[in-house]
Amino acid sequence: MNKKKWLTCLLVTVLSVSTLLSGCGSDKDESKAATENGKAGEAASQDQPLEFTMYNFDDGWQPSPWGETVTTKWIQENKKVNVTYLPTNGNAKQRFNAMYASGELPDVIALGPGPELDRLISEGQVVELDPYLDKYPNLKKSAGDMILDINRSDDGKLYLVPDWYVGGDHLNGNGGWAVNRKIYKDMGSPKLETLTDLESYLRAIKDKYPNVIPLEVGGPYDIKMLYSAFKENTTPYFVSRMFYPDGNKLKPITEDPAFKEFILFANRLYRDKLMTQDVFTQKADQMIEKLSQGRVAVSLNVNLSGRARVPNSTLRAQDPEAGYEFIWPIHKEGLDKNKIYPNYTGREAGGKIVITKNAKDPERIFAFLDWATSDEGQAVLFFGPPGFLWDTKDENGFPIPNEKYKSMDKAELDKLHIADNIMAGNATWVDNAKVARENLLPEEQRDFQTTQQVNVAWKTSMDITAFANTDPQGDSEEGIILQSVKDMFDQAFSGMIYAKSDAEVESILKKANEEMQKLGFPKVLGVLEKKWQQNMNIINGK
Amino acid sequence: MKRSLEDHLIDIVVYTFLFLLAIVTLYPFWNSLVISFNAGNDTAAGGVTIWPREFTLENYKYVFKDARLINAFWITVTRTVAGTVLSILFTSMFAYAMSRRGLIGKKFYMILCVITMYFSGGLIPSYLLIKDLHLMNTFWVLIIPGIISVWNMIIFRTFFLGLPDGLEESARIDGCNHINTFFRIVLPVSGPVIATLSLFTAVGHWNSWFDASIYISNPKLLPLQVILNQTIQSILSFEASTTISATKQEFLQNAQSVTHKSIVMATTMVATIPIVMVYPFVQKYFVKGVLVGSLKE
Repeated sequence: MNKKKWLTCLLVTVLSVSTLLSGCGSDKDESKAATENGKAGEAASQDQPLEFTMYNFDDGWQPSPWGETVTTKWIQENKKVNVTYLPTNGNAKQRFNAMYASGELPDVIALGPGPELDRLISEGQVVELDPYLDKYPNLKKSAGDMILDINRSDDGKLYLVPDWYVGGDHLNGNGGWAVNRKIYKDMGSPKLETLTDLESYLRAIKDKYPNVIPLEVGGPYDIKMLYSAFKENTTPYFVSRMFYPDGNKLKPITEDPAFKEFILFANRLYRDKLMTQDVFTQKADQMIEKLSQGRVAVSLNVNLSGRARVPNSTLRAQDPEAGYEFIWPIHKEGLDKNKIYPNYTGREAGGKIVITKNAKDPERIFAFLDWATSDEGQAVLFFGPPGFLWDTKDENGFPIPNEKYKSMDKAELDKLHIADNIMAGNATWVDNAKVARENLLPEEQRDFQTTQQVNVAWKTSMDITAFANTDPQGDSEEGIILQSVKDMFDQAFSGMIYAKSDAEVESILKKANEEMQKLGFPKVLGVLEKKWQQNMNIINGK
Repeated sequence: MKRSLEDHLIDIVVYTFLFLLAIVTLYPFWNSLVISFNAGNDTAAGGVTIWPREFTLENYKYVFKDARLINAFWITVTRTVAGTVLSILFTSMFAYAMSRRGLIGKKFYMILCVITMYFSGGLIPSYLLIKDLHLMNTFWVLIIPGIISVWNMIIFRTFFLGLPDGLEESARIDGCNHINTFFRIVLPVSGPVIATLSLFTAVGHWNSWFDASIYISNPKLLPLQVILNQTIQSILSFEASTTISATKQEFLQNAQSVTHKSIVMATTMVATIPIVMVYPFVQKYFVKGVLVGSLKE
């Protein structure tokens, strides 16, 4: 009897499951038929909706499905465009390689510079965009010739639409120095401008508040931001790239006297426990935690305006005197404080969008991207469709939030994912539009991040467009050298921070400098220098 | 028999050690559970350890309202049930054949099977194969490629070899063919091994995400673990990145701040608890089962 039960049970399960599965099977057939129809339609007529697949090479951010937000629904209805996102499923690189190898590249790919982009272009997988540039003029108008020229490949052709380019005079950045307002006031609001002021302030904090971290940096990169204080017209970007410009030459950063001063200073802060002790291991969460508890006296971080935003409002809600406030970047005695740049901006845009040769109708896709990057497109993609949260625009063309926006709960607004699907972003437009929107609010209601950006961060950002796309290809000789230099330098850098004495720092630095020569770094710098000069010529319009 | 002092001492040491070990293992899970019941904004301030500071059900409300997650949940359930049943059925049938003395070329088949345990085609060849089989973007891709497990086949085979020959002979005499013998005689006496291997297979299916992440683009077919992985990734990338444009960084961070750590933890719980609850039900077979097939008499 019992055996029979087992068998019946098994058979019933198999039966019910196969019924279930046949349901799934037919679903697949339907969707296949639908896409086939879509493709046939596309070729047939311009009036048919435009359909394309898009892959966002970014595990960290996957936009809401097309048509599920008010914004994309509006685009579907008014622009007749339907985007099917191929998800990375948290596995972006492997999925991309598999798609590439099987010849199944999506129609559109959004990615950053790197080996994948190099490969797509050098293997001729992506569509050249020059023929469309004049026919659809928005990109040219918004980004300008310089940004497009910088993004051209070695063969002089443009294969990509820059994503989040920074045109005009605007410079962006989210980082910088901030003080804990309450502690600062309790300490008697001392002058905090030079490195000496900073060091004595940090030492005083350590004595008075044993539980407070005198200088909180988020991670290793943020230590490098200190470098900007030691020389005019210098950004932490140079430390990341391991070179510094000297006249029209690029030299290894280890030869820079300012770098030596910086690393000795940073080591001293670390050694004397004035700086975050778990800087090499902690995560963003832990930093935000400390900020939220008000256990940070001074902070230096590349994304500080974002990271301190919620902690600031939490602390101010408890005590209006508390919270964080950006200060003008710290500088070495004798330097011009207006030439100190902890932030930097590459106008060429960190993101790139390419249209692959698999796309049925690349011209229409470009036309859509061109609309997306236009002021009109950005207004819809960033603020939502007209008539929803805004009705009219101001004299600069920025949407004016309506009553519905003003009365809407912030959490409800977040859930709408209005700006989720923004593409071909124009950073200058978005930043200025955001400021215009904030300026309509009374001062105390303005967003912390925007205020810090306008007051300090954007003013202390250095234009590094001249170094755009200068990295050698990963599989070239220079690329391989660069990688080994990078590994060596990273190790040396943490060694110098952990060092027990000045003498130890100096000996590691000396050794790192010798290693750079030995590994062949000057050869890489030669290549970089050439590209840098080429970019300079483009920027200067030669 | 009276227990000596030594016995008691050893017991105390053993139990204390095991107790501590259990705490070390359980604490991360418990902490996740606690955070999932704690208000998101409060979690960000840190220090939530063994008891929620600001109790809330909001995180679970959010999770269960998310249509994507609910759909993914059902995909995972279906995949686990169907995958387990089919895998056990096919693997055991295969193993039964491999356990018959009369099978010609048995050794050769065995070698073929064992090779696959050590070598695989690698990602891209597998991807091309799946594509040419037209399994891409279908539900079946989650089940068919792994339907036969060589490892499980060997365990089944050893178990079947251990069954008394008389059992099969008597079935033969009563007029059973191989299929009847397998379904009516062999399978019914294999309860423990089926239960154990089913559990392993089910857990494997439940936890698996890689196959789906590579082969599936249709969001409606994604299992829970992929969605969970995506959510966790989006929090991790909070760390990044100094290379992307500051405006994009800001935009991403604002978009991501909607997903709190508490919500990730609630999702983790929803993804873990159902499969954990299966264990007690299979426990009695499990104790018997892990040993079956290990010895051949």
